[in-house]
Amino acid sequence: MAISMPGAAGAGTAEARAIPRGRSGGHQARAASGFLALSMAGFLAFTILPIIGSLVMAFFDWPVFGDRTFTGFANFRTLFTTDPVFRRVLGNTVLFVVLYLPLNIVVSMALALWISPRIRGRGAYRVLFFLPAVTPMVANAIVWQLMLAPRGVIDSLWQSVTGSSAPNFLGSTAWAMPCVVIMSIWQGFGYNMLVFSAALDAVPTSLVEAAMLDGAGPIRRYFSVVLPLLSPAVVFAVTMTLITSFQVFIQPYILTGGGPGVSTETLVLYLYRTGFEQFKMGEAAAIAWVLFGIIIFVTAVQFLVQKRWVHYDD
Amino acid sequence: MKIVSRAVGRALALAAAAALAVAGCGGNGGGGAGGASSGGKTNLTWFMWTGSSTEVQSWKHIADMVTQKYPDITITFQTASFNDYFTKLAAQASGGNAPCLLGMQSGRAPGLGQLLRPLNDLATKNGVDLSQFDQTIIQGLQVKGQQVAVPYDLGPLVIYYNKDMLTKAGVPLPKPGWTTDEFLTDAKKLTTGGKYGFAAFPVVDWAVPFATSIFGVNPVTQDGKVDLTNPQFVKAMQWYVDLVQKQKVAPPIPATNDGTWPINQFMSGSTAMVVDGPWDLVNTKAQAKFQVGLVPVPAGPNGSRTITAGSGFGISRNCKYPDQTMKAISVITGPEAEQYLGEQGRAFPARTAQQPYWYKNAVPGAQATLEKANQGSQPFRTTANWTQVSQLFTQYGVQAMNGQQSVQTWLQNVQQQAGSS
Repeated sequence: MAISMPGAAGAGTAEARAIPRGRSGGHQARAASGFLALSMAGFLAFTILPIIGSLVMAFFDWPVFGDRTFTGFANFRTLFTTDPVFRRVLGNTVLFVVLYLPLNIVVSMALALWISPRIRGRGAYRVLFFLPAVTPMVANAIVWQLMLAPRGVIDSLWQSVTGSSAPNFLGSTAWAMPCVVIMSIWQGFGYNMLVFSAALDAVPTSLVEAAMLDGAGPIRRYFSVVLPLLSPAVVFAVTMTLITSFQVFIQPYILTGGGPGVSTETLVLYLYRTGFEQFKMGEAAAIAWVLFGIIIFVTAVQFLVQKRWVHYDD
Repeated sequence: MKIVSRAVGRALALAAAAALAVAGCGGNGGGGAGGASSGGKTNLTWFMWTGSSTEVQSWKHIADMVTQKYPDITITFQTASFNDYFTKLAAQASGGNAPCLLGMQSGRAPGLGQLLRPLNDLATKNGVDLSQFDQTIIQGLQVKGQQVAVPYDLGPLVIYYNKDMLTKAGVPLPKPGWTTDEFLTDAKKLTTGGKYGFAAFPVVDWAVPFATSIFGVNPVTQDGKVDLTNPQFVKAMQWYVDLVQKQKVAPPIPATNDGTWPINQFMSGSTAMVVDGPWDLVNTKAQAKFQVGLVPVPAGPNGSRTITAGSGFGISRNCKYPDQTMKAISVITGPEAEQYLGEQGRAFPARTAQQPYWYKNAVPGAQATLEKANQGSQPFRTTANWTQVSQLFTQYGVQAMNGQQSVQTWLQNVQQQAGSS
């Protein structure tokens, strides 16, 4: 049904084509735009305008109260030259993504594979693994904080086993970021697991059985048959996870407050602090656009690269 | 259990702040700009920080007192934790959406006072006599000579101690005039069996009382500049850090966004002493499962010194109902409400005539402690960017308190980022 769509929606069927373009087509187009107007208005007011607004803000010195002055690229220059922590924050964000993304994909894939055969209570496992993803992240982070804090559950267990105190997980620069990553994986793997689990179910058994008859072992079967068939799902999961992991905020905000020092301060957390605690809205908007640029760039690269290894049905 | 409910309350406040960051705009203050009026009735939105559900109940009770006196005025109470409060307020104000009736702390007034309408005239018009209040806090809530808020409380920071723990450890109960050496000796005796003598945390408000009392130094200069790298202040913070590192009388700390961490440690019985103000007595009464005592900050060479902070209520500049809001404030800071707040232990009343009500219901010895502390107290000097200073002080302080960074580097980092503006 690959029919080219001339003009407005709804005018694409053969019958519609037979009708001479005129009143009826125009009428339908008007009706369509009428129906679309509402959602377009919402899209304009709540998406496009704020985006333009933030772009404008990025070029201003824009305090929360007081006068606003146009400063050109000064905000961006400040971020990359004089700002004492921005580059560190950028590095932290990249570190988070580099640690979080592969681990998330591996963990969710492994668990999806584990529950993919018809094991007993499969549905229950699915729900169980998905639970962290549906519980509010703030509540999760607070529970993790209580567990990881000195004299928390983990410290107590550690002491009863080893006799000495556990590292100060959230108070030490070496441990804080790994803790944020681990908590994020626990929180976030359920979603990708569900995606992979659904994709695994769609793998035709005939292909797997054929490979088995040809003498392929389980590992060979996975890498040569199953994984290529899963590749569209993997691309989807990687892209979405990449974007959200660049935007990580709640986990470091609640768990460590960006600390100790700035060792877990990420781009969005720094954006929030700059805008809403230091009241420098212009600089915060500039950070948002730097982040936007990074995400667009990384996603574009990924789309270019994926053509080489993703197998789509067609 | 109560601690958990505090945590949940905090979580809600944090979630609100997080949602705010995502939305990038302030919440609506409940119809119009902070209030709504129809048929001669006005509904005002009142925004105020709280630390527990007990506090929320106290304020709601007072909101009802307003409606009793002025049936045409109803109040919608909104709240957030102390730190999130100022963030959310600024976000709302930037969108022209600040609630009409706002809480303001003296330490934050230099930075956020411009959100508030000067109210000398409105106060006089509505029969609020500012001379009936403690004058230090009246001054603390002035910006450029203009009164921006009517105070409801004030309080010197003092030491709260867990009487049961002290008695059990055979430590004599401290009295006004106790010295730094006595404090350290007691704290060492109390540090045993997984419990600690004191809860130290890099919140500037909790650390400065020691700096003023023992080292006679303040992190803000007379002319209002941030001066964290002053060698004397560095020495004072080294002493504070040593409570964790060298003396080991205070527990190692997590990096957290939550400035009430030391108070939570105290309330849960994990540490025997903590720095806090008289406003928190309401929470200790409701939550602590032990007897509480109060004592001034340990004395240095010039006796016990501390800082006084206080808070009040003002009217946002964008409020369309300044007259009705002032009427509400006249009740909220009026004698009856002040008596109620004093009796509850929520506030050491800013109205001098109502102060005895706090003493009456406080713990034994509280009056002597507070009178002594007030004698040696000075207003808490802050700067316009105090929110930023406090936040950075805590964020970088964790490393120093845990011995991963020198005190000098910690204070230099904060000074470098917050000192210039």
